[in-house]
Amino acid sequence: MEIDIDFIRFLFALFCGYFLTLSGSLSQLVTNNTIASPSTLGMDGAAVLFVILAQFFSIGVDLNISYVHTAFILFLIPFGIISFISLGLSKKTNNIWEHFDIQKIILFGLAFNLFVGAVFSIIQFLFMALNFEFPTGLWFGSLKQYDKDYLMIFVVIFIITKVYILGVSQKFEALNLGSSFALGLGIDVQQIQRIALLLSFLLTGVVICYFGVFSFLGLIFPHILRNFGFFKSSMRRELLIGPYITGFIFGIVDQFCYQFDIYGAELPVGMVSSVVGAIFLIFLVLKTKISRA
Amino acid sequence: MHHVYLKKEDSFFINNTPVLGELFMVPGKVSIILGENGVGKSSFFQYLKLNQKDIFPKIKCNFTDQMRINPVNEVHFENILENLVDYKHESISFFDEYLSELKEFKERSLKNLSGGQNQIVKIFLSAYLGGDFFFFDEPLQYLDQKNRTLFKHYLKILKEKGKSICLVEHHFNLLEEYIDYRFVLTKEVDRTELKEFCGN
Repeated sequence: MEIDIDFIRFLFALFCGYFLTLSGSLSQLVTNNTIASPSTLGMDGAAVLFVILAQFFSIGVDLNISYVHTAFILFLIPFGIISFISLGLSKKTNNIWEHFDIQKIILFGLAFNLFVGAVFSIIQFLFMALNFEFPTGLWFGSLKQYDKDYLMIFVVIFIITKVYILGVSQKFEALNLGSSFALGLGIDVQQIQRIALLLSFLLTGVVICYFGVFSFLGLIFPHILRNFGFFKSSMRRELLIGPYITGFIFGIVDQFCYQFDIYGAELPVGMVSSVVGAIFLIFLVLKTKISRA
Repeated sequence: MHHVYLKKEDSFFINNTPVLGELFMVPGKVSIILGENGVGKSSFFQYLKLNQKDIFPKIKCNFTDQMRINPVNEVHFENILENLVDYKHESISFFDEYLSELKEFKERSLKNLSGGQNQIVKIFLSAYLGGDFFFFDEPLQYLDQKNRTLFKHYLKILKEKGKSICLVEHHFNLLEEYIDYRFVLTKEVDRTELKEFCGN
């Protein structure tokens, strides 16, 4: 049997796994909530909206660029506006809890994702009825349609993220003990929370715009990492080293999907990794419960 | 002596009404803030925390509040010491002296500690990190008799070392012997007032 490894594709898978893990870890860290993730905070839904919008653009306007680039550009516009408002215009509040009710945010995020799912179904129905092309596989992320041209975007975002995480990793270690504790150490918690959530949104957005939704991987990957001793004790390790490990694993799973098709159809890696990851997570949760009992 | 003056323009942190008054902190002395439930004592500490760089310039503050330490990962007490080493000022001798008290649970994940154990971890962290001004928001909550005595000893060491201490504590009668100044936070119709309290 001949195995043909596609290294560029592996590199993209590594980036996607890295971005989704980091996005999940950052969301959970700054909200101090282990069920926070790009999926539960509504980031997936928000990014999908721009992919759908890009699809409309590709029908009406000949932009001379692929619709994934259009989706990412459309995503960057509101992302820039949100960043400007939250980092530049927001006032410092005297109540740390005032701006951050995580339960409400998660409920809103889940409701928003459901709403986008419903909108997606309606639009998909209309596109199919009118015989227009529609990215039906958007909810099952896949790296099949990668292009070398995307690489520069991923590298730039990777570098920005890496520099930021390296710079504030010590503060993240304090923030892991709770926002109130970190505040007591004189850390500008509100600013860090805002930047981390924006980064998390950017990381999720770029992956979804180019490769589709990898549902709940941002939730699953950090939990899997935390079950290994090396990552258990240090948030800095989870943020600085963890995403490489999960990115590598994700790359291997993607190569597996690439090598072994089913009747000529490639299995979307998003679907496979979500199923395998969810089963693995359930196993780890049960194992932890049993060992505690 | 360090004065904290609360002026109208920057003190809208309790129910959107101004908090007016003055708190002072004296080296080697303990100031306690009294007040009914819900009057805003913890919000006042939160305000001090958020604005510590402006209110206490060049002073290293150390806050121990009511919030439980609840990390997202399975971090242990010993890991925390390594992780927070950059924030360490000058540990209080209490930390080394009584570290053995933590031996039962210092290798357990902080997620699995009881309320009292979590509280005592926060007190040890306070001693580990050190500082000049110490703030404690209801430090005796969840603590059993033995650990309350331990906290009293910590307070005594802080006073001996000339640290300025401010407490919020409902069971202030248990700390009577260490308290030097009493302040009371009271709710008025259009404002909350913080003033020194001289009566019983």
